[in-house]
Amino acid sequence: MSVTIQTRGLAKHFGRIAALNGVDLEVEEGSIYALVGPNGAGKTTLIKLLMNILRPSRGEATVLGIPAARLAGSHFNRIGYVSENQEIPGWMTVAAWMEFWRPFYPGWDAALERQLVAQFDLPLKRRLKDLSRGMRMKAAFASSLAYRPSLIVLDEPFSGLDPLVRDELIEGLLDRSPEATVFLSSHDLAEIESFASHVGYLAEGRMFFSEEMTSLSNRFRDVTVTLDEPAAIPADPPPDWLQLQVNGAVARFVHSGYSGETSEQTVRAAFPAARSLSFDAMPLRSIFLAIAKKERHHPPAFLTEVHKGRSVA
Amino acid sequence: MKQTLHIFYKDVRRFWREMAISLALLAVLIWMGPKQWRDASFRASYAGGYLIPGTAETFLPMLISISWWLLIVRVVHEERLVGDRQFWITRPYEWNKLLAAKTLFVACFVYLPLAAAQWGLLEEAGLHPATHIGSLLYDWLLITVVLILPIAAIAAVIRNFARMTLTLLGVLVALLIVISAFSALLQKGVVHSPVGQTDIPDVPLLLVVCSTAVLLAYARRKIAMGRILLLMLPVLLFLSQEFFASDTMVSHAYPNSNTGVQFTLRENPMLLETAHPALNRKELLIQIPLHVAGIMPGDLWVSNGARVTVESSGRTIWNSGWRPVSNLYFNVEKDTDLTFNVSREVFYSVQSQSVTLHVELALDQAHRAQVVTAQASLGDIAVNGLGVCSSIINPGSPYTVGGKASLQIVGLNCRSALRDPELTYVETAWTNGPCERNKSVINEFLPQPLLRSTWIGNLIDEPSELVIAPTVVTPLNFLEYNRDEGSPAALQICPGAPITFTRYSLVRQLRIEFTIDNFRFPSYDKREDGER
Repeated sequence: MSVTIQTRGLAKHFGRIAALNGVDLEVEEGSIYALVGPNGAGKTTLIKLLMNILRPSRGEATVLGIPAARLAGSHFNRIGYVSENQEIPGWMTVAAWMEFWRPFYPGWDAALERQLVAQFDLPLKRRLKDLSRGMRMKAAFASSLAYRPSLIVLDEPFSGLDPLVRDELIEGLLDRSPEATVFLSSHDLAEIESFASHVGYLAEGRMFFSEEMTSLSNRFRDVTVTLDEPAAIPADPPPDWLQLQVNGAVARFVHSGYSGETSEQTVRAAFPAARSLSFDAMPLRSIFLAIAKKERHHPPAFLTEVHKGRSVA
Repeated sequence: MKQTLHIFYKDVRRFWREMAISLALLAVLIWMGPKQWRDASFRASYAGGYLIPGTAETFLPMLISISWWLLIVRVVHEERLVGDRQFWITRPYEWNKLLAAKTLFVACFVYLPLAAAQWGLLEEAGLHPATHIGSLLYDWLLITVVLILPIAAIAAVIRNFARMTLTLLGVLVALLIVISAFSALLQKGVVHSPVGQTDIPDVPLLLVVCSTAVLLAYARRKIAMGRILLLMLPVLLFLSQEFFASDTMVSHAYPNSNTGVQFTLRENPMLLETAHPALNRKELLIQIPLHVAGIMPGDLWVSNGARVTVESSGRTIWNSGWRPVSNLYFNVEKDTDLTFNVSREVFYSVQSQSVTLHVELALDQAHRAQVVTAQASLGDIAVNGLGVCSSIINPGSPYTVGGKASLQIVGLNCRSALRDPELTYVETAWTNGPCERNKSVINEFLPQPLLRSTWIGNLIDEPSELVIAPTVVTPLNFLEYNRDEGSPAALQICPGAPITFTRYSLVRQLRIEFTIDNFRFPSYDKREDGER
């Protein structure tokens, strides 16, 4: 698999404030990569650096094999970019908006344009400024998908949209995903959980992990240990056990490095009085909560593990 | 090209209102321009020997400039360069095509209508625009450098229209402060007016700085650097002005030359007037009575600046530096005064002794290029090399012919293309009475004509001034020096009276030096300080 987006030590400072602090990232071709993180994490800054809207303070990035700092003009024939807070010329009607972009793109597919307009139910004669937020987003989507870009970059595309519009946009996006790499940011995990193939977690300008969704889901387990009798918390639990709690004869924790039988053996070794063990798969939201809580307590160790690309502890 | 035109058409659709305002104002200029030299409204503005500039000359160009400002700022901000949320920055816009589209827009809706309006107005004024293409091009260059490029450059580095308006107001306020401060410093004698400088700011400097700011914004979106450049521009302009006004540069612009023209101190020492306090009060005004000889017939000399060095016993005591002076020498021989300011300290230190004055004059040499004699008439008079002159008719003429008020010519206003005319000496005969003999009155006394003259124009060797209205109207104020000749209301130029136009062309600029030995500074009555 070739890499569509790659960054190395990418950093951006606004005065004394570090919005991004040495981010390493790889986005594989054909993936739907969701960059998640809380508000103010640096997601939009990272995307703007990738799109050459901002210039990095340090580090480098390539997009479709082109250094991001050189992205300009015809390079954008292959990139579709939509942002929640992008300014659009409100005086144009939807039809004029689509018509305006048509000659810019050699690969503009008029049939696809018609299909998108119909799919999104866009009112062609209305001015963009008179449209609802959701409709404006749809118009932006349509104009960014109709030329079949190789890379679709979306910055908080679903933020503040009602579920119906969000589903319509996701549907439109998934229709294009077989032929494009999608890179999107969101602060809402539920939004992306259903369709993202890869996920990266960015907080305070640092990338805490970046991996395939299936791998992430497989790696995290909600572990419940039922003991014969009440026990104390093990003296030195492995670092990939998060939120370890013992209540009477039940111990619970999140295993962030689950690897089947080996993990079971480790747990049994830590709890010799274990009567039964359960390793339950976790929803993405719970995984992130566990990571966030752990990070709040032990950020350096967490960081070290992440940057090695292994487990999160 | 395709992308350029595509963006251009979009802007045309978008900014039709702004374009309409700008075009409408130009249309008003075309409509009102000829009224300046034709209609009664302009004649009515003639009052007491003075001509008041018309609306078309003052307000309309200002309004047109404002409409251009609106148009350019809006069209630049349509694809805003400042910020990170614009719709176009992640689209396949080529910066050079975007810039070309904006340039094309300005060319089509600023320059093209302006060119058409100027051509039409020159044609209407009888000034044959085809013979002034060089001047028109130079005028457009000045408009570009002084007006269009700075607006475009500021728009390129400012986020939105509101901020742009505030910036413009800030620039105007700053400009007023600088001008006031400069005037105050000028009055206090801290700084001095430059010698031989034009009012047009440094064209190459403006061109380079504004173009660089625009290019940096479009090609690299380096807004901060553009802003720094534009903020530095006033300082650079000031430094450039100071550099070109420096003594070294004035001496360089006016090379030393032997001309045959001699300046000597007039012999009668009684001619030395007493010194007076200068405007700035720190200095005193000294007049040196001079006699000029050796001016060749047909030559004209204009002094632009003087530098006076005071020496005593071979030692330089004081040097004035180059200071502007303005005198015209055109007779073969002439008595004249050279006035210069000297600090009180220097004055008192040398007042009691005789000193040597070393005087340098920065001069323009001009030569009589053409003499045209025309006859006064109620219509237009075309004067080759100057333009077209129209008679100013007094609507309230005191004279009657056959019981009706006769048309009284009370002056001339001359229109020239794009700049003041070349320096021209105009002489004509005025009559203090009726032009025609009243047949019913036997032996009616007809007054003798009075020869009156005036100068118009200048020797500036530039093809054009910075003008939007291309017809520069110059009134000829013959009468303001002649009020003792009787009521100005009675004076008139009779139809058929000869008017002689003598045009002078700049030949060269040079510097002459002369020395006045044993010069004694005049006396100064300190009571004069109290009088002021």
